[in-house]
Amino acid sequence: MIKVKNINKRFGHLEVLKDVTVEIAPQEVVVVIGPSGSGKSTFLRCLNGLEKVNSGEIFINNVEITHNKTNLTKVRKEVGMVFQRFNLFQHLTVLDNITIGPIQVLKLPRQEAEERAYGLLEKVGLRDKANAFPRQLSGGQQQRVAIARALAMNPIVMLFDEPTSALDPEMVGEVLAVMKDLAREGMTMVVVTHEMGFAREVGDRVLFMDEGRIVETGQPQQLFTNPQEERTKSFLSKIL
Amino acid sequence: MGSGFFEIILDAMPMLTEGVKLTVVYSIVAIIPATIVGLIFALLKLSSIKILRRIGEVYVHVFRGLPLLVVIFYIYFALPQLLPLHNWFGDSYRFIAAILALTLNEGAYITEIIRAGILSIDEGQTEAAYSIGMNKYQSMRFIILPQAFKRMIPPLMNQFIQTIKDTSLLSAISVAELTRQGQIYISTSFAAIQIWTAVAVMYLVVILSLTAISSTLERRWQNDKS
Repeated sequence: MIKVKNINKRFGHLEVLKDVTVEIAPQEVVVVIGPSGSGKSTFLRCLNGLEKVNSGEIFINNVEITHNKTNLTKVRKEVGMVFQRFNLFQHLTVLDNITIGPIQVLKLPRQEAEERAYGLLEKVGLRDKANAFPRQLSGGQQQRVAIARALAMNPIVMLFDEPTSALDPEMVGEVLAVMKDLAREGMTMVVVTHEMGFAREVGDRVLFMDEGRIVETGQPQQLFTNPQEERTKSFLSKIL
Repeated sequence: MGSGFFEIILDAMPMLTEGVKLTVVYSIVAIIPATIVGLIFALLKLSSIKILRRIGEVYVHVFRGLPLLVVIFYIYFALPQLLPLHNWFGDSYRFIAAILALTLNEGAYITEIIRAGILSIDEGQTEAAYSIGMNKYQSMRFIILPQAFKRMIPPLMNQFIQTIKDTSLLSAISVAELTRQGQIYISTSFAAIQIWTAVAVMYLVVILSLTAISSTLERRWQNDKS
């Protein structure tokens, strides 16, 4: 589903990604962990072309998105993304946040888009908030709307960039619950997170990144209980 | 000339009212293209293509750097020596030159207002728009501009007020707006105090009404959509 081959990314002189290679299978849930500044968010943002790689290749469903001529907007229709700071459209209601993509990008009739949106709001437990504006919602509610907005495009992959890091602790659970449901339904997911519980429970595989490299990868149980690399050990000892 | 203060003003009123009408007409006719010009050059300045950015920058530098009066004189007196504009447009060239000068001048300031408004919107909004497959145009049109526009209302209103005041410079090329009408009346009546007082009050009335309208609008927008 996702194939990443030897990608490198620099910001000026700073090398943020060094020769990253990874493959992600359909329906797989991959959790990316690592210290801040390790390049995990940048890695995720490369997967939908929000960041351009300096070298290397990324294929999504066999389409090379790192190719200059690839129509990125077309790829992004199929790759949903959820941001740390939610990034809901502040001037639109919850309903419009969810329908604007389907209506403007997928050219769905409004009625169909709204039906889909209501269905998704049901799923994230916010049907009664359809007409609220983002700033009237709590962080957890906003993030659930953001997930619904991404799902409204019927993506084949969902990318989560620290989806619970900006939330008050008591709201983390409701967002993770929605993500767990998604994983159970078979959505392919790449999740950058510090929620080790989530990684353990629903992750099929964990990537540990440090200084722009994938240092170690493995099944959550194995990586958490028996890390092979020194850096993984020292990172885990600080957070577990 | 032995009449009292208010009698003179009353006598001048028909002329001054004509002047106010033209002041308002010139302001409105200039503000609309100036806003469009401002939007276009703001987008040029924000373009990822270097040449387009340069074009936007040069425009702003030139027209923000030149006194409006010089621009007015240049377009009205100098350009016709290069091109037979008076033959092409006849009497209406005065109007065209006036609107063109105002548009170019105000457009430069509006460019910066719109650019600042767009830049004030969080990068995350654009990224979210891209992440649901929007292209640059859609993201501008549906996500960024509607939010930026709300923030641009107060500085745009300032600029519109500035435009109204700037039309007084058109008196230098004999556009019969409020200031010019005042001058004409004074030239035969010598009633400087009465007429300039009346002219000043009339400018204030026009501008304060615009301010009142704009704050009402602003309040409504703020309540509506936030």
